[in-house]
Amino acid sequence: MDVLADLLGGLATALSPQNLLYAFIGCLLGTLIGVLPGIGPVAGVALLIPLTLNLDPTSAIIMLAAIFYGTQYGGTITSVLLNTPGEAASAITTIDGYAMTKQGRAGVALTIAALGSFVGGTVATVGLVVAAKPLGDLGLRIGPPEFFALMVLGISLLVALAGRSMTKALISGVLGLLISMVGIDPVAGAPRFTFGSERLLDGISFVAVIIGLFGLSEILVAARGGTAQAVAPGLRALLPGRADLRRSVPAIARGTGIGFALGLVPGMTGSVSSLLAYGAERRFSRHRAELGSGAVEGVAGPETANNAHANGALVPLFTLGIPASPTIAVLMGAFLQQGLTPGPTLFAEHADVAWGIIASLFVGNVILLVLNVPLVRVWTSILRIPYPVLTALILTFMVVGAYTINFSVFDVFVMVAFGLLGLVLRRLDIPLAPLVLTLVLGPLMERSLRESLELSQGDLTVFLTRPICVVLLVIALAIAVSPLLSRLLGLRKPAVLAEDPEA
Amino acid sequence: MSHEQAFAEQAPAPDDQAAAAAARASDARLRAGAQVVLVALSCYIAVESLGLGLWTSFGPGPGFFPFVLAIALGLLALAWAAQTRRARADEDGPAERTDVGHAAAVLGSLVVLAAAMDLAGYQISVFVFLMFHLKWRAGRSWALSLVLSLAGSVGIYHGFDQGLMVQLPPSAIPLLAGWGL
Repeated sequence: MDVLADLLGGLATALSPQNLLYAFIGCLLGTLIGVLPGIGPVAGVALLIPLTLNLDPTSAIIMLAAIFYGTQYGGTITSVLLNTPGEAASAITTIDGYAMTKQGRAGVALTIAALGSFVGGTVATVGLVVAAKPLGDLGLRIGPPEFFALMVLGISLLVALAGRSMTKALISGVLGLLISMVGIDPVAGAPRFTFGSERLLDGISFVAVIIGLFGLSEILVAARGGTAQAVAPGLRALLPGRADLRRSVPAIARGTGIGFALGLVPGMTGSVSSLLAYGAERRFSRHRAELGSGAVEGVAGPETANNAHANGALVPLFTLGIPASPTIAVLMGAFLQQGLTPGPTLFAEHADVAWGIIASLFVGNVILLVLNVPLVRVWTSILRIPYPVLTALILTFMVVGAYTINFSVFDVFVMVAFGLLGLVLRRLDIPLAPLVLTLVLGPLMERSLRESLELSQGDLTVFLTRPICVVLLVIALAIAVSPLLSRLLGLRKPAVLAEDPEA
Repeated sequence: MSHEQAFAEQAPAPDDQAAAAAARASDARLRAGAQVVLVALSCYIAVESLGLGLWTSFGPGPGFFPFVLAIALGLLALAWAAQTRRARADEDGPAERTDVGHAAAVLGSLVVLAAAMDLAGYQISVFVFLMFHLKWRAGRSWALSLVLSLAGSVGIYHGFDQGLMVQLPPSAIPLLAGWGL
């Protein structure tokens, strides 16, 4: 009953007019980012962090979380209407989604995708509610050594984000850690690598780094021309028939299970969930023979899975403080900017904020369902804006986003420098995802290690005498050596895991 | 289709082969340069970290973490160089190609914008930046370029100022600042 009371309290917070407005704006912006080419969820969430710095923490995170799951839906629109996925997790939807568009059934595909996303997202949020309390209670037993072990566990996930080369992923991860070391040392207060510049005493702005690495470098990679030729379906065409709904139900159920389960596994991306959900339809659907030629199951399954995954991936963030993907790492950065540390201690120290945000996920899923289906026409009109015009406007917002972090042009230069670095890393095929993960977790790991050793007066066995700490470190070690074991056992990494997620 | 026809369609033209060879050579230079930079960076950080202090009576000092990371970076860069030598040229190709002119135009315009923003103010510098991208680079009409540039400069400035209470930089030149720019 405690959970129910907490959730009802959270709903009261989430349903306040102010927070409803921020969830609404977040859903709108998220969908827009998902629709726009050239700006992915990582850069999109980072770009909007500065605008939330003046808000209270609950409203700020509600808006950023809404942007995060809004991008999942936005990506679907371009997949269905243009055969171009707005983000990686919607790539598989292009097969049957675009085939349905060619049959004049784009409206049905979009509505079913929205329904599936709503169900998947809502069920995954219920999972978060169920997991929150027991794992949250763990927070009372978390001290600096356990926190250090959690951070080591988080960083060990770099292995899962490795892409094609483990060496390059590790280089990316080490670069992220080194960038996070710039500024005042968290324990002794000594300036590190500041080159005598006062501007660097507070470190390199996390937001400017992410906007540069993910947003600007994406624009720098290649000039694109032309205009998308998207045709919006009419309102009547949006309504699915009874047969469509009946056929979608099993696919939505399977997609929810797959997406939520994989969302809990850090390092798994939404693309893996949607691909596996499509695979499940190929195997179990009664209409599997129609897949590939416009079967509604081919839209319902993957789209449900990627939204269930997005909300499921918030479970490790909220309960353990482990970001499961680069976008979640950016969201974690937003928590930290607001003075909140996600993880077990969040429920112990800021239960009202945590439950407010969790409740807002339910509200956000309803907003996305109600808002986005009738607004398909608006999104398609945005797609008709020529890409060079969009690029110029996106660049302007990047400059504004970088400037408003500290109201300093210095951060704009930082963004430009990291845009160039991102371009070079992409050219060298060095994945960007590990860098984001370590950039966020590095300072927390260093601080907790040094606090632990201060408590134990320099005795390293402090990490081996506390049971929770030992368990977490053993899991981290198992994850870190898993690629070696896979190689010894002759297991091949699936091709889908070789891509740099969300870059 | 005859054997000869099929071969003619599949075999790359000599020009394509030369371009591919040039691209591979350019990629190899970029990789070698990156590896040298990473090793040099790791040496610099290791030396700086020693100066910060590696260990105190309470455990690791401010230089401990960066020192360990610098050593790791150096070793990883060397491992990458060794892997590159072992790999065939086509196995370690670049992930994404770049339009250098486009990248230079975007980066150059951003640097000029950032350099001019404190002096000229947000509205003037972003207006010029948007006109450059919309009119000169994208080749849009004067009317569209002017409308979008005004919206992105004057519109965003006042929208942020009055809607979000976020002040974007006004001009440091008193005359322009007096005109509300």
